[in-house]
Amino acid sequence: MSGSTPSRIRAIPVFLIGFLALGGVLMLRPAPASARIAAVPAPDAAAAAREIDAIVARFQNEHGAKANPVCDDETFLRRLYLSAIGRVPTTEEARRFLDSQDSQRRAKLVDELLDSKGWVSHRFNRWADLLRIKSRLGGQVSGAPYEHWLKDALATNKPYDRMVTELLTANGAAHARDNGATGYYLRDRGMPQDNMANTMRLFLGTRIECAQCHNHPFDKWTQLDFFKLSAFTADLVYRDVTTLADEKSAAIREVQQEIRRSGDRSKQQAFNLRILRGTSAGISHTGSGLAMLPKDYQYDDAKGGDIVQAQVPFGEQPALKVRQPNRRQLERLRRAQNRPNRRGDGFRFPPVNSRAAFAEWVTSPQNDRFSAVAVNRAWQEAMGVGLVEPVDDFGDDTEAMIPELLRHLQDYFVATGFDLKELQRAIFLSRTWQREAVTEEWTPGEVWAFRGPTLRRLSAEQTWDSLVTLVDRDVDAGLEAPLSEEAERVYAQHDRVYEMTADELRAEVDRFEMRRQDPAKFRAEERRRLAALREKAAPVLRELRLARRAQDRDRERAALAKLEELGLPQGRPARRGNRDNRTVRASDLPQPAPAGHFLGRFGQSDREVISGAQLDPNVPQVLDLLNGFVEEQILSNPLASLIEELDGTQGVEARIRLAYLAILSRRPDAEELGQWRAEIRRDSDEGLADLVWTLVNSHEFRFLR
Amino acid sequence: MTLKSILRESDEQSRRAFLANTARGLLGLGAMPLFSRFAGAAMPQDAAAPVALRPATARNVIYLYMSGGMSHLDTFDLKPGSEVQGPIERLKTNADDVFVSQHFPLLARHMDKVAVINSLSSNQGAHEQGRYFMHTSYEMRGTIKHPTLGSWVHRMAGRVNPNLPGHVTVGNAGPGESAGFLESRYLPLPIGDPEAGLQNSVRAKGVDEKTFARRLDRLRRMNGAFADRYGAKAVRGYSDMYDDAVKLMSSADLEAFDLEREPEAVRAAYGDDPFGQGCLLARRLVEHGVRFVEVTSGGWDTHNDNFEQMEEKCPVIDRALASLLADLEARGLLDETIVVLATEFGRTPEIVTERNSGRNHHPKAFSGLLAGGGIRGGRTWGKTDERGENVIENKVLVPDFNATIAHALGLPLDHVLTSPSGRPFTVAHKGKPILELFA
Repeated sequence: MSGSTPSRIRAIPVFLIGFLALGGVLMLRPAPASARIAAVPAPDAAAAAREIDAIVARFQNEHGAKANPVCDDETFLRRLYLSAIGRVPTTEEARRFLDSQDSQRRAKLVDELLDSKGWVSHRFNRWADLLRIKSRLGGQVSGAPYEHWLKDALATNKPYDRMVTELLTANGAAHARDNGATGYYLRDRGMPQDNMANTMRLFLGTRIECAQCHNHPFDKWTQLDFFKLSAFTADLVYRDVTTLADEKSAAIREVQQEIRRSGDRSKQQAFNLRILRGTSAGISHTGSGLAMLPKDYQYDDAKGGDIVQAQVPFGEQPALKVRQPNRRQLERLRRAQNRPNRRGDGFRFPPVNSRAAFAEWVTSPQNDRFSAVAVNRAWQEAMGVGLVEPVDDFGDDTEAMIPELLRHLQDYFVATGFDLKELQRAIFLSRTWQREAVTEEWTPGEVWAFRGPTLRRLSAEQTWDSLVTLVDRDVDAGLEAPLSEEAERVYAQHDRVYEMTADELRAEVDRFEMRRQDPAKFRAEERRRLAALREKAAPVLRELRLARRAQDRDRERAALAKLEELGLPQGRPARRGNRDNRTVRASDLPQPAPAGHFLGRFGQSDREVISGAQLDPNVPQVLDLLNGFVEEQILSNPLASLIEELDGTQGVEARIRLAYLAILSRRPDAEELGQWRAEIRRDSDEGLADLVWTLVNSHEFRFLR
Repeated sequence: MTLKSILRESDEQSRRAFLANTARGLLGLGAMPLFSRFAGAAMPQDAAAPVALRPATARNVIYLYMSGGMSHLDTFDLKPGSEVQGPIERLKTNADDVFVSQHFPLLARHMDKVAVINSLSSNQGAHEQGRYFMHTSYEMRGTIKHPTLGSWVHRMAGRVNPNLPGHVTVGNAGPGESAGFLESRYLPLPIGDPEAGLQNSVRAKGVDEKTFARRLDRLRRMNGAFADRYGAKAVRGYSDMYDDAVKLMSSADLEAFDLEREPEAVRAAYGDDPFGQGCLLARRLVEHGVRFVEVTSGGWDTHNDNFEQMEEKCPVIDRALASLLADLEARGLLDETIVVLATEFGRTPEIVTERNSGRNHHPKAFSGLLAGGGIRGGRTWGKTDERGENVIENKVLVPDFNATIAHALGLPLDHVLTSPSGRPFTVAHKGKPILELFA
């Protein structure tokens, strides 16, 4: 393969030395972050980009590889839009850039896009794949607050170490306002060990999950290592209907006691489901730092039933003072162990904030692997090949393809305070990223010269969002704010319970109980109640209709808010298309998109495993492009932006240019122009439809050059 | 590290890459020290080739899934006279030893073809985990996704008809049903609505054959130029897939998806509902060489109104399954097609009166059916106690049930497939087939 050349093994970088320590005992520490930061003049993305180019050039020189030429403006335009905000540029955006004479136009476009709403949307898709974001977390827990947390973290460009700390230390009710980070643990409800394995893989590129059940067959991890690690989070409580006493309002306490005293089981259930579950489902216990080995523990390094103390498998041990259980607690624990479902009995070691200690260790600038994994993922996403591959399997003998570059990116990342956006900016500004695409595929074990980014198929989300842009050029204006209406609804429902008086709570429980006991009677009552409400709200409902007819979104929102207040929530405002097939950005659809959706066909992750997205071809995908979306949503849709623009453009040549610009973000060459001119002269409508159909079905549309 | 690195290479792509690289290394072309860690490794076999099968009694599978947890006590494991039974009566069938609920009068005439398993047992009491376990034989984990039985079969046995997918699901496939760690080509082709057939498989309205051909011609020209310039494997993959899709659109096999081709009487016999029509579609697909078809019937989660719901749901299954068995037999397909009826768990003996006679989840003991494909019918396997609460004879764990299906298909149960992360897995996860059912 051209461009790849033999490498010499270089000196082991300093940061790896720390990882050579076995059993969690640190023998050598990497230089503290502050010392390394001093080497970088200032967090300046342009300078960091020049340094990337210089390191890559040295590497290529050493290996006799030649960099590709820097790509032209059209290629840059399309690549940047798709990479930064996840869709093709509209014709207006494309013209603005291509017509610009500004010598700084590329850098300016990078800055503009990194600060746009589209950037949040596209970053969300990427993180949703890594974090396995779902709109429904099971057990009636909504995923909307978790989605809100992520979008908000991106919109405010929360430092990466903060983001990770918030996830790992999340606590409290999942539906409480601004507490969506709890979704990180609730996503793996009842499986704290799997969650820990995912944490190690996601943030530290360390695959330790095999050791969950047995000593790792090939790596050094033992099951004991895993149990010690899992002790940081092992005592996590997945709260269900157990709102802690101090979180309850006086009215909730009063009604709960009253119902308990009455001994009415059906009412108790109704109270639990209706009142407690919505308020309390979530996470508690900050972590004990202790775990008990299973009775059938099979290795000689410990005995089944031993209590082990939390320990990280490499690096410096976090400071943690555990509280050993007293004799009575131990007795209880032993009894519980003889019962089949040990966790079911609710025994927990005393909390000592071990999750916070663990988070501090994970995100510490001293934990070199934390920044190494993050920058390597960002580099791989931009260039198509990571400096370390696979990106989530760092080991003691892992060596980056260009160690100096990994070091540089890490230093820059740490110096900017773990700023993922600045990191991306530096990469996008580099000439290395702006070079013409490499079409060869990297093969494992091969040294890669990074002559340019690789040719890749658009992700499911990029494909969908680009097609949607052809239907609605203003699609980004319609992007939901980080706080979606669904999340707001969940928060409001949660808050309402706390504000209810005892009488309101009793009425709510009765209503819910009736719904479960006698659905027919409930429906009849509900109809009566709603009819009365509707009568009261008639003027507001009329206002809503008028606002919708006038397509005045502000008025519509105001009316909706008023109706919510009156107890008549109307759901989401009307949008084009049905709920799941709305032509909105993928980030505003349910996560993941429902079964049978375009996004699923094109390989959107089903959010079961980390990085589950696929880029493989399949027949239903192709059939959709041949006979489905293009025809239905674009060619037969006079409201589609592309069709409107074509209709409003005079002249065959101008129309051909427009279609090329809208779909492929470039001008047609003379030969293409000539061919299509002949076709369209013969039959204007048919020829244009053929043109649009062909361009959308083309490899050039599907692949990112 | 060395062994680990090699085993991790086991998906097809990286194996090919590995072979190519090894060759390059051996030939001294671009050899690199990094690569020396592969030295001396045995040549792995091409992982995507179908596995060598053992003698099989079945070629195809029609897998009927009762989503939500079908009550065993009210369908195939009745306890007449017991307090746990409720109002449902037991019906004699055309097999001496076999009884069904009163809601299966049509099926009762075909039970000579069916083996009733009354001793299924699972340890998964939640829907998602339960259906995952039933479909994959592995417990749900957060770190790996296991392939469903359909994907295993597709992967190990390959396609029968190369023009059609190897694995189709009809109705709403549940969450977590996927090719798991296998490549996406082993994903099922999903058909949401059996009457709608394969979506987008016919030309859009207003696009005539001439127009379509003209467009394809333009597209080939344009894509050809792109492929010449960017000769990446992924690009070629899409060129191939366009050829496949266009071939399928004009293929005679496409009619396999078209229920309009069935006589009205046949369609009516299966039942005018998504499940009945789904079973008919399954028969058509199997006939055309699709190896594994799963049809889902939803709504079996009868916490409320258990007996009223049985009255509604069972006749749908009765019509469809009785018609399917008769139809397959008449066409000579029953011998080569194993028909399975499965669910994630059974329901409690206790009848919850305050919820209008509901039953809760009960994974410890439940029922499933196997018919055709070498299974000797007309009998019952395994037994629960007088309350239907515990298995007291011939317990069949979920992996055993799946191993029995795999056994019928001739899939070697000990054949290891390695996930890209280097972990070893087998079809039916060490389950033991019930060999007695084949005698």
